[in-house]
Amino acid sequence: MTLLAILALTLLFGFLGWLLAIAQRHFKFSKDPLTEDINALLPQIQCGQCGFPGCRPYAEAIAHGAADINQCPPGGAETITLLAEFLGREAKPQDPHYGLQKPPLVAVIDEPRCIGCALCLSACPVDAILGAAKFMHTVIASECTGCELCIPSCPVDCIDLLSPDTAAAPLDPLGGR
Amino acid sequence: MRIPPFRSQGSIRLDRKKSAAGLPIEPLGPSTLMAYSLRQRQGHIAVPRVAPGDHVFRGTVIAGGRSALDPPIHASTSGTVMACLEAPFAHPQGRSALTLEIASDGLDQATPPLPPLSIRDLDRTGLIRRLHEAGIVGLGGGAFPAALKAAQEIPLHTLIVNGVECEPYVSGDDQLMRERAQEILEGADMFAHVLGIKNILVAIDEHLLDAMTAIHEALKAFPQERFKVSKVEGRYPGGGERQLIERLIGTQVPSGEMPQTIGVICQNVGTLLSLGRAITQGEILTSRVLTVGGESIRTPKNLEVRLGTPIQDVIRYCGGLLAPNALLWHGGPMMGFEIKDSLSPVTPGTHAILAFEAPAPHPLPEPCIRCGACNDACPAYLLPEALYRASRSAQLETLRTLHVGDCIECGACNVVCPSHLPLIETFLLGKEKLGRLSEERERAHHARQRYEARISRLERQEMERERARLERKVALEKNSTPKILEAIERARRKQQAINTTLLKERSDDDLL
Repeated sequence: MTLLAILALTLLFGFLGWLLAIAQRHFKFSKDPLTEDINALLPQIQCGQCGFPGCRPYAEAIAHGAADINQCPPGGAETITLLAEFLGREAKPQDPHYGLQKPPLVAVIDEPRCIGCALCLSACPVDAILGAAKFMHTVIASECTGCELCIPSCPVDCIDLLSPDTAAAPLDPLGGR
Repeated sequence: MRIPPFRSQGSIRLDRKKSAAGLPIEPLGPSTLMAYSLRQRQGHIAVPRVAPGDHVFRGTVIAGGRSALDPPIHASTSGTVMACLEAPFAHPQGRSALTLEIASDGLDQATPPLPPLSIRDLDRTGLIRRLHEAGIVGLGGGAFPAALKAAQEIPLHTLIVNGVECEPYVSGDDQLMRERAQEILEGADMFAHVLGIKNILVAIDEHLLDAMTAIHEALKAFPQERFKVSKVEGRYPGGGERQLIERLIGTQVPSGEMPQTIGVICQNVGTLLSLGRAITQGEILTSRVLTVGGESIRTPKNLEVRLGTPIQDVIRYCGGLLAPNALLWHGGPMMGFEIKDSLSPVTPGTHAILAFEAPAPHPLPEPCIRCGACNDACPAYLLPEALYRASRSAQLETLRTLHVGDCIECGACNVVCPSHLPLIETFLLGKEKLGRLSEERERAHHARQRYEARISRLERQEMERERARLERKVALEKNSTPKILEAIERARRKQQAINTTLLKERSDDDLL
């Protein structure tokens, strides 16, 4: 009788263990779901002002408790509110140590001054700069997040940040950019 | 979508005051200084095509839409472009936008009209192009581009001709139907013909008896089986597109979708009239019919006004205001808003200019008592009290699940609220926040995709480089003769010796 019980339980647990193994293989999370959800709330400027090399690493840090929710200057108070709402924490003011929120900007290359050094191409986190060595570069305005990372990379300082309206306006006959 | 069984469409009865009803439409000539706000749908700013000093005619394109969906803006009289500047336009918050100012030369010369189109060989593309070129937009108040409305290639079965003027004081559409019924029906007929629409439903408010008679009279010249006239109960908001469709067809337009998805298209009577003229006469939209009324206007009138006329000049033509501190109002009393600057120009969305005695101070809002009166009044089956709470506490996700986007801002809930809560005003703020948020989310999503694509590309390149290096190494070892290997070994030893001496020297330096 005891033997039978042992056998039955062994079989049962063996079967359940096998099920668990299968489940683990088939329903595995390839990415951390919490990180994904937090990342979806971040503005995706990829500026790195939070001290992490992009929005996803910052999201990861928040998920693991390594960073606070008020370190994202481009997101500002709205992102903090969203993160607080999502994580069930208290909203807090933006930490000025990491910078303050600015109006949305777009990088614009002053094309006559560009020397075609291609240094800014690798600085852009979203591949929004179009160009090749010894050719003039330009910023694809609709793809630019305004992260400012290309500014220090330019040796001739020909990249400016403008408000999206001024940057996107075609050269109009009424003067001005 | 079926109509929910437990709720009926909300609506309220409003006082039917009409100060300009039955008065014939008078044309108003151009003012000396006309202004054209370049702000279009969804806050797009049109791109100026003329510079100060340029001479323009009535019908000259002065600005082009920023996207292909925004129609061009035309001058409505001849004259000289004076300036391109930021100026206020009719907006609930009194905002400014880029505006072109044109000084009229008094000659009112027009550009030659666009070539007339024959309805026989006009197809959908031709119609869309013509509507776009002629700048035809919805004249019911929304100013939605007519070309855009016709652009979706969905089989349509019914055209609703919207002659339900449900707001008090507004009588422009009523008068248009009385005077120009023939042209309205022609426009509807052509529009329906080109889009392959079988049925045309003319919806008229039950109180507009003269308009109904005029439409019936004009209908005698049209094929009877295509047209049907429907009397609509005179409740507010009966003329809202979605509400009207639901009442007439019995089907709800799905949330967030255009009425075309259920095979229905709705056009205002004024729009159909200018649309018909654009096809048969090539006429460009440079004027619109509007009502000037309210208790504080000396002589209320129905006017055909050039677009771009300063509102102040329209009021002056009607004898001015009876009280200097009268409240100026843009649009109907329910859905309109206060005019902050009387120099703002008439736009295609200006269907009425009203003036009232300075209102009694609004009763102070009191706490919501959850009576549910607003829920019953809402024509869009929303829950205003829940929306109010969510808007107040900026719970954007809740607002989304409560479908704040379906609010048509009719103001019925404001009227019935016993606590005098500013419901609509609060929803508007919530709506704006939510809209901004989803726009940002979209941008962020796009940026994230690009960022991730870049990261994975960099990883791939790194891996490829590594593999190439390994391959080179293996190939070198395989193809080398003992002599070469010996040489490599010698070189490595030499390098090591140099490194050791360097290290030694450095540690010696440290010791010193």
